[in-house]
Formats: sequence, structure tokens, C-alpha cells
Amino acid sequence: MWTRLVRWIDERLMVTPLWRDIADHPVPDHVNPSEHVKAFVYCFGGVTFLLIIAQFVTGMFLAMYYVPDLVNSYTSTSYIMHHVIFGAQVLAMHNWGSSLIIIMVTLHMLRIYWMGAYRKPRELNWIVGATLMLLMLGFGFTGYLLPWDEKAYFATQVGVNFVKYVPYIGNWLFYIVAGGSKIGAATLSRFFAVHVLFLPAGLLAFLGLHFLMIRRNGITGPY
Amino acid sequence: MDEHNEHRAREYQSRGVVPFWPEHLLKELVVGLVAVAALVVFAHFTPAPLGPPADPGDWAFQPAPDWYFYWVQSFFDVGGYYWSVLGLANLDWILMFAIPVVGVLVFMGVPFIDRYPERRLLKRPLMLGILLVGLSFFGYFTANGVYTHAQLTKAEPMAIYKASCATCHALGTLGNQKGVVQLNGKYIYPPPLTYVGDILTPTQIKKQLLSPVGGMPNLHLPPAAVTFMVRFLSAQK
Ligand code: HEM
Repeated sequence: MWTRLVRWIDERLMVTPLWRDIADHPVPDHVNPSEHVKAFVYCFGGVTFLLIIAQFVTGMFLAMYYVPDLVNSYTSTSYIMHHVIFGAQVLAMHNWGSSLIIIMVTLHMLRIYWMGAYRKPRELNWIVGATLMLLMLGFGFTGYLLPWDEKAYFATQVGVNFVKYVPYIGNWLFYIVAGGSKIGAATLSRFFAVHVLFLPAGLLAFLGLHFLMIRRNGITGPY
Repeated sequence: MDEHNEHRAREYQSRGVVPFWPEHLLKELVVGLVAVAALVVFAHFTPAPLGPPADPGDWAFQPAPDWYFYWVQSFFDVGGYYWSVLGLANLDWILMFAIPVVGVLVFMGVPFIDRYPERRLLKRPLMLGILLVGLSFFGYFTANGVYTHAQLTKAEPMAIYKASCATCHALGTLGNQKGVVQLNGKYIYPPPLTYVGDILTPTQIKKQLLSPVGGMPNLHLPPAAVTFMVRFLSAQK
């Protein structure tokens, strides 16, 4: 019954060839942590990806309660912490998860650098990876504002003020980033949109590129 | 499908590779799930830090970024200081814009800077150098940012005392040592704060700051200042 249903769907969808292509592609055993213990350094990228999935999941649940406006951003965050079942757990996971991701991406990047794994033809993938790094920092920066507590507000004020130093367009850029002449309600809804819509869209696109290129170029061999 | 897998597994083994699924991914997932489990446990014992609500008028708050941004703030602070010492203050766009752009370009351009035929790091002295400089840069400015923030936080209560309390209250040999004439002509003796931590509990100190009694004016201290002062005064024993 189950097999027939799957077959019925797949006759229309035809994902089996795609899936076989992904599932069967050979992975050299020098990157497999159960073959060589020191191959654990090859896991940092994958672990980062898994943590990103965890951030997506916890973030989606936080979005059920979080309200991005001047009053409720704080009260809804506090509500999540104190009244929502598992709310404190999910919020803490999302909060500390960002730090863990930064650590893992950094370790991943150090592995690439250490091994010279960005050599031709993987230069472009280093650039894509570096963009991923900047995107992750963007997540961290925009997410920090969302609870609208004191540290959120003042850290964002410091951070956004830096764009004023861009020659010629600095003040205009500040206006664009902050949504007005100072940090306020418009900044909050803007950062919320960037944090939950713009950046995830960019992240998915660049993750797709990253993984496609890893597949095309293969993983770098041992020295 | 099982037949298929077994067939593949044997063929792959002879080539020193494994199929991505399930042999490779499952093992990598084990490592990943350990990380997620660590996160679950850590999050269980460490709630997300949520301070008091934002108050744009709070002049006492010492802003702190998330730990992985300390280096940005610290670099611009330290850099800005030396920049103005060098008299380059009206060229600050170089420090604040051009240098960061060059930094990002170097980061992105690493594969094009590295022209060595060898891949071992020890045989790529320039790249080893860049790595060490980079690590010291981030390490130094992160540590410096954390340290500076701690120093500012430590100095803040004394500054608030001097600005808001010292006209009336003594603290050891500091501040006003005599009585004070109020606007209505009454003479009052504001108690010295030298041993206030022994006399009042933190809750009582907070209450006195927020709704003062005994002729003390309401100072309308912002939340961060109240937090600072309650901690500071409770320690005066
Ligand atoms: C969101 C963050 C990132 C994720 C999820 C990610 C994921 C991955 C994964 C799963 C791999 C396969 C090998 C491994 O895991 O080590 C990989 C390889 C690679 N990554 Fe990333 N990565 C990220 C960020 C970066 C960054 C910041 C860089 C460098 C600036 C980078 C550069 C590379 C390169 C050059 C490879 C190919 C390595 C080789 O052929 O040995 N990635 N990435």
C-alpha cells in the first residue's frame, strides 16, 4: 500500500533519479569521522547546517508569539520566557544557537584555510562561504534588536551609527537602515523583516550555491 | 532499494569511498546531533538574557554587543582614538569605511592571495602570517572590548554618585559632609552613604531611589542607573 502510494506519487514527481543522485554520490572515506577520528574537522560545515535548521525551527515557533512593535516586542518576548510552554527553552536555544553557529562557521572556515581547500576550482566557493559568514553576522545583528530591551536598543544604536561614515551616502544610508532619523518603531519592524524574511531568503540561495559547488567540485583530497 | 544499496556499498568499498546516504550522512548526523543536544542542555540551564525594556533616555546604560561583535566596537574605539591623536579626525571615513572594505576584500580574496603550490600551512608562510595576524586581531580586540566594557560598567556608579548624590550625601570623605538647606528653608541632614549597605537592604535602597522619603528629591534616575546604584550602594559596608 505504502510502496504503491509512493510509486504513484513518484510517477508524477519523478524525484527518484534526483534522490539517487544525491544518495549515491561517492564520498571519499578520508572525510568520514567513523573511518578516521581526525576527519571530525570535515563535519563543521555539516554541523553548521544542522544548527541552521534548528534555528529555522526554533525561530518559526518564536514567531508564533513574538510581536514586532514598540511595546509588544518586549512584552511578547517576556511572555514567551515566562508563560509559553517550552518558551524559555526555545528562546534560549535560538539565542545561544546563534553563538554556537558563529563558533562552528569559524571552525569550518579555519579548516578550509588550514588545508588550503579554497584552491582552484574552489575559489568561488570560498567567496560564497564568506558571503554566508556575513549573512550569519547579519542575522546576529538584526536579531539582537528584536527583544527591544536596553542592550538591544543601545547596541543597535551603536551599530547602525557606523553606516553614517560611508562617504557621501552615509546619512542617507542611515535613514534606509534605521527607517528614519533615529532608532525607533520603523527600525524594529525593518530589522524584524530583514531577520525573518530577507536574510533567510539570501541564506537559502547562498547555501544552495555552496552545496551545489561542493557537489560539482568534490571535496578536497588529503594533502 | 535495499538490493540497490548493498550493491553500491560493495562497489564503493573497493574504491575507498562511501555512498553519501546512508553511510556518510548518518555518521555526520551523529556529530551534528551531539552539537544540537549540547545546545538543548545548555539552553535548558541558561535562559536567554532579557534586560529591562529599552528606554532611549537612559543615559546610564553601557551598551554591549553580542560577544562576537565586541571586536568591531573595540576596533573602532581604539582606532578612533589613535586616529584623532594623529590629527586625522576629518578623514575618519578612511578608518570607518575604507579599512573595513579592504578587510572584507582581503577576506573574500584569500584564494587569490594564496599563490603557493603547496597546501600545507607551514609551507605557506604568507598565509600562516595572515592567519596569525587575523587571529591576534580578533583575539586582542575582543578581549579589549570585554575589558573596556567591564571598566566602564565599574566606573559608572561612582560617576552617578558624583553627578547625582554627592551634593547632599557623603560617601567616606567624598561628597557633602554637612547639612543641607532645602528650597523651603528647612534644614536637613542627608545621611552619609558610607555604610548604607549595612543599614538598608537592596530592596529598600531601590525604593528610596524610585520614591524617596525624608526630603530627598526624586532624581528620576533611568533604569540602568537604578540597577547600577542599588548594586553599588548595597556594597557600601
Ligand atoms: C552558513 C555557513 C556554512 C555552511 C552551512 C557550510 C557548509 C559546508 C559543508 C557542509 C561543506 C562540506 C565540507 C565540510 O563540511 O567541511 C562545506 C565546504 C566548503 N565550505 Fe562551507 N559552509 C559555510 C560557510 C563557509 C564559509 C564561511 C567559508 C569560507 C569563507 C566556506 C568555504 C567552504 C569551502 C571552500 C568548502 C569546500 C571544502 C573542500 O573542498 O574541502 N564555507 N561547507
